[in-house]
Amino acid sequence: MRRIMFQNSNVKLEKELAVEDYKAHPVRNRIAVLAVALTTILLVVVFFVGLGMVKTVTLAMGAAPGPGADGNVILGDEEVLERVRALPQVEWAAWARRCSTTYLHNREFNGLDVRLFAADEVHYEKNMISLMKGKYPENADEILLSDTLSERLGLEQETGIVYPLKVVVQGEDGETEKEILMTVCGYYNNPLRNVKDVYEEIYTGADFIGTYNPHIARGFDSIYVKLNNLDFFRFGYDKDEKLLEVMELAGGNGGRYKSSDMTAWVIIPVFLIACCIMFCGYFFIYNVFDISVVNDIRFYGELKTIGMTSGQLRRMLSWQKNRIAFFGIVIGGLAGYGVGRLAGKKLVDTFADGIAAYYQPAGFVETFIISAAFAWVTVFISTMKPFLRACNISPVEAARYRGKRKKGIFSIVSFALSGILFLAVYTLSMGYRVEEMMERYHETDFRIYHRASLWGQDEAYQPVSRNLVQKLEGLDFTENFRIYYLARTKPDYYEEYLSATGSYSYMPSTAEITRDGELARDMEAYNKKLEEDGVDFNSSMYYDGFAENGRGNLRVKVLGIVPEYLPAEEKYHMVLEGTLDAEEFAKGGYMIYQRSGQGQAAAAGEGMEYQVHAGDEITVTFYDDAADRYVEKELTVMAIIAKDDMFGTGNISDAHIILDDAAFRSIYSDYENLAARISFDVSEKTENGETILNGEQYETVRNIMEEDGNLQLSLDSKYRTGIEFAETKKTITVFGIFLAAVVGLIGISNMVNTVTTDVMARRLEYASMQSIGMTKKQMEKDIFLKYAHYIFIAMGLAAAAGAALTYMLAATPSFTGFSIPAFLQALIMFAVFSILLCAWMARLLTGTMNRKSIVERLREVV
Amino acid sequence: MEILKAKNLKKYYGSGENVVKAVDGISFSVEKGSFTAIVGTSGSGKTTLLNLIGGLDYADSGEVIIDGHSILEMKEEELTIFRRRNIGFVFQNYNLISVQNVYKNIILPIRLDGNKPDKEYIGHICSVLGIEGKMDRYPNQLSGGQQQRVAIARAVAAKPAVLLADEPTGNLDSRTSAEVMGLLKMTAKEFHQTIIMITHNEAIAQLADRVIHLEDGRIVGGEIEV
Repeated sequence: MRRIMFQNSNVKLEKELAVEDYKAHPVRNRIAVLAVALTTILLVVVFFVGLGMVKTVTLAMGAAPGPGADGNVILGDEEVLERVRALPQVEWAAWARRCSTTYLHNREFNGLDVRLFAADEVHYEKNMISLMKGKYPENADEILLSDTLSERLGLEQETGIVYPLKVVVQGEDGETEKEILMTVCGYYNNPLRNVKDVYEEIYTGADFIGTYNPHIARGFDSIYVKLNNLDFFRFGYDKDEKLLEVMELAGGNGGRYKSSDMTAWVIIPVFLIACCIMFCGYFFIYNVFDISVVNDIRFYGELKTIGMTSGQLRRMLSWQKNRIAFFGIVIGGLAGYGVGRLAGKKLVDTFADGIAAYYQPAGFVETFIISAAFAWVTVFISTMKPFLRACNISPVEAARYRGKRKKGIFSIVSFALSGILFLAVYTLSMGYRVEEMMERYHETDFRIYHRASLWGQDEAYQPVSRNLVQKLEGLDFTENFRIYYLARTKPDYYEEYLSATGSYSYMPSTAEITRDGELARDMEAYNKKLEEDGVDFNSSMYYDGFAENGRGNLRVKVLGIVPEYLPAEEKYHMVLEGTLDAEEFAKGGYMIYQRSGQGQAAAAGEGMEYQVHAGDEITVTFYDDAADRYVEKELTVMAIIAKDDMFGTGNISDAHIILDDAAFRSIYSDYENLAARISFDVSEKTENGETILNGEQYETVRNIMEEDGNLQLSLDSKYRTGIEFAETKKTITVFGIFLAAVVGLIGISNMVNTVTTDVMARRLEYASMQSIGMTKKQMEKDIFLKYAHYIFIAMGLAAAAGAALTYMLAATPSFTGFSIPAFLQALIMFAVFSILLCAWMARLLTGTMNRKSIVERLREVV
Repeated sequence: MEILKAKNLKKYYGSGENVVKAVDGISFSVEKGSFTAIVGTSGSGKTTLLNLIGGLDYADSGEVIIDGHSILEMKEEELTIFRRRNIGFVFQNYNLISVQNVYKNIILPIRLDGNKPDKEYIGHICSVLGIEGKMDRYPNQLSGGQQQRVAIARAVAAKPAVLLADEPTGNLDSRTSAEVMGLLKMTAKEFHQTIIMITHNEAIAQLADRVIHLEDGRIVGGEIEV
C-alpha cells in the first residue's frame, strides 16, 4: 500500500494555540520576562562599560599625547602633512608643531614635563583639546592652558593673565633658555588627565615659531594620524605596520604609536564576566520554563493525544519563548543602556583613576546587538531541556508525570551565586586596607627620585643640588633621611637618535666596568644566554643584559648605599646566595650582586647559572668618567640577590652592583652629583605612635622642589597614594554593590519563584491540612522551613565557595589579603537576610493562599 | 446525648436580586454515636451546611454547638485547633497529602497537635480498615477505595467528637462504595463515632440511621425539632 504523506498546513493553529497558552500563563510570562530583562541589563551594562573601557583604555594606555589618534604619530612638516591627509587609509591628520626645543624650564613645572605646541584646528577638535573658557591662541604671545595645569598653578582659569614661560630655543650656537611673557587666552579640558602629574601641554599661536624659535629643527613636528583600516580583532597589534605603510607613502622622519596590547586584557575579562552573567541568567530562565512545563505537562500530553506532533508543540513553545525573549531583551536592553550611560563614566573614572577624560562610551547599536545576541543565546540554551521534555513525553507518561524534585538545585545554585558575589564584594571592599596599600608602595613616607637616573630624557642630566638636600633634611618633620647614589658615565646620549631627529635623547644612568674579571665573565655568560633567547639588549637600556659601550666596557648600574640602610631593603629582595649583613657590609670590601632586573625567575632559568658566588673574592675595574680613570677594587661578594618586589618600592632593585657608600665615593670622584634617590619619613606622630601624614607636608616638600627648579626630579608620597587608594576602595564598593545587587536580584527571584511555585502547587494539600486542623501559624512555619531548606543549603555553598573565591581574589596585588572579620560580617549579614527572606515569603504566601477560604481551595481542580 | 446542634443557620451569597441562599435557616441536632446522612440534589446546600457545621466556613447567622462548644463564636485559630481535635473529615476526593506515606497521612492531625500518636490505636484502626499492610505506600500507589480508607483512618485517628464525610463514595465504583459505607458504619460502631455524611445518593443514604433531606437550603424532611 502506498503511504501518502500529508503536509501539515496548520501553522495558523499552532500560533493560535501558542497565543492562548501564552495568555494562560501571565505570572510565568512576567517572571520569565523579568529573568530575561535582568540578564540583559547586566549584559548590556557589562558590554557597554566593557566596550567603552576598551576604547578608553586603548586611548589612555601608554599615556601618549594625541588621544584621538590612538597615539599614532608621524614626524614631519607641512609637506608631509598634506601627503598624509591625502591618503585613503587616513581618516584625519592633525598637526602639533614644537615651539620649544625641549620641555619648558619654569621652576613651578618641577616634576612635570610641560611642552609648548602650536596646533591646527584639527588637532584641537580631534585630540579633544576642548575649550572650557576663553579662546584658542591666535598670536605668538598667547597661550592656552589645561584646566589641570590651571589648578596646579592656582590660576583659577582666569584669562588675560600675563605668564612668563622659560622656553628652550635653538640658537646658532646651540640651545638656550629664554623667558617669554605670554598672555593666557583660554583654558581647555585636559584629555591627558591620567598623566597630569607628569606631563602637560600648553598651546600657542603658529607664528610663535617664526618669532621666537626660527632655527628649531624642521620636519620633526607631530602629525597625529587616525587610521581607518585597523583590524579590530588584532587588538592594535597591526598599528605599527599600518602606520609604517602611511609613513612610507607620505614620507616623514619616523613615527610613534601607543601600544594597544592592553585591549585584550579588557576584552577577555568582559567576555568572561558576560559568560558568568549568562550562567546566572541560565539558572533563572531555565527554572521558570522548567516549572511551567512540568505544571502543564498533562496539557501537552493531551495535545499529543489529540494529534499534535512534537514539532508543532516545539513551535508553539518557541513562539512563546521568542515573545518573552523579545520583551525581556528590549526592556533589559533599554534599562541596561540607561544604567550604562549614567554609570559608565563614573565606573571608568573610579576604576581607573584619571582616564575618564578619555572616556568614550560604547555605541548603542553595537552594545545592544552584542548583548541581545548573548541574551537570546541564554534564553535558547535555558529553554532547550524543558522544551525537549515537553515535546518528547508520551501522552500516557504525561498523565502520570509527577516531575522530579531537581528544580530546587537550580534555585539553590542561583541563590548561592548571589551569596558568593555578595560575600566576595563585601569582604574585598570592607577588608581593603588603604594603609596596607600605602605600605606596599612606599618604604618611606616621602621619596624623591631622579628620573634621568632611571629613564631617558630629552635634556642633559641635571644633578640633585646640595641645597635641595639640605633644605629637605632641615625640615622639622623629617626623620630617617637617606640618599642613594647611582653612577653615571659619559657619553650619556644616543648618537643614533641625534642623527635621526636632530634632538638629543639622554640615557638613564649607567656606569661601566671592564671586561676582565670574574664578574664580567658572569655578565657575558648571561649576555650569551640572552642572545640565544633572542633578547636584543644592545638596542635599549631597559632590556635585561649588559651592553658594550664605545670604550669596550660593559654598561652596568652601580649603586652606593649607606650600610645601615641595607636591612630596610632586604624585604624587597630575594637573597639567592649569602646574607645581607649590614654590620659586615659597613666594614668595607664587599659588594652585592644583582644580575637580572627580571627577578629570580629569569635569574635562575636554564643556562643562567651564576659564575660568581657569595663569598668569592673578585676583582672589578670601574671606570670613573668624571676623572677619566679606572679604579680597580678587590671585593668579596657578600650576597647575590634578585628583585622580589612587584610594586617598585625597593631602592636598590635596579642596580647590578651595590657598594657601600665609602667604596662608591672612592671610585666616583663626582659622587656629590650622583644622588639618585632621597627618601625620608615624617617624624610627627600621634600619641599612639602613628605617623601624621597631611597635605601640608606634601605641599612643603613640593614647594621646596619647585624652588630648587630641577625638573628632572619626581616626588612620591604615601599621603598622595593614600588618597588614591581610598578612591579605589570606594570604587570597588560602589561597583561591587551594583553587581551584587543585580545578581542578587536574580538569585532571590529564582529562589522565590521556585519555592512559591512549589508551595502554590501544594495549595490543595495545604487546604486539606488546614481542614484537618493545621493553623495558619503552622502553615507559615511549614513554608518557612521549605524555604529555609533551600536557602541554608545555598548559604553553605556560598560560604564555602565565597570564601575560596574571595581568598583567591584577595591574594592578588589589587587587594590587601583576605579579611576574616569582614568575611564573617558578610556571612552574618547574608544569613540574616536569608532568614528574613524566608520569613517574609512564608508570611506572604500564607496570607496569599488564605485569601481564599479552605472550602474554596478544596473545590479547586488542580 | 446531643453531640451536635445547629440553630437557625443561614449562609447567603451575593446580594439583592442575585442573592443565593445556600443555607436558609437550618436547625437540627445529632445524637452521639449516630450515623446521620444529609441528602439533597446538587445545589441544595448540603456541602455548605457540612462546611458550616465542620467549622470550615462561617455562617452569616445562627449557631453551631459541638460537644458543648459554640464553634461560630471561636476565633480562627481557636476554631482550627478545635476542628483538629474534635472533627474528622472525609472528603470526596480523599485530600490525602501526596508527599507523605499512608502512616504519616493518618497521624497528621495528631502531629499537628504536637502529640505523639498512639501506635497501638493507629494499628487497630488500620487493621479494621484493612490497610495495615500499606503503611509505607504513597497515595498515588493506592486505589481510590484504599485512599478513602486511609482518609477514614486519618479522620478517626485523633478520636474526634464528630466525623463529617462529604460524598465519601462520590469517586468510587458501586462495589467500593458499598465497602466504604460498610467501613464507615463499622468505624462508627467500633470507635463510638458520630458520623454525619453528605450524599446525593438516596441508596447510600439509606444505610445511615437517620436521613435529613435538604432542598434549596432548607430541611424538607427527617429533621428533629430543636
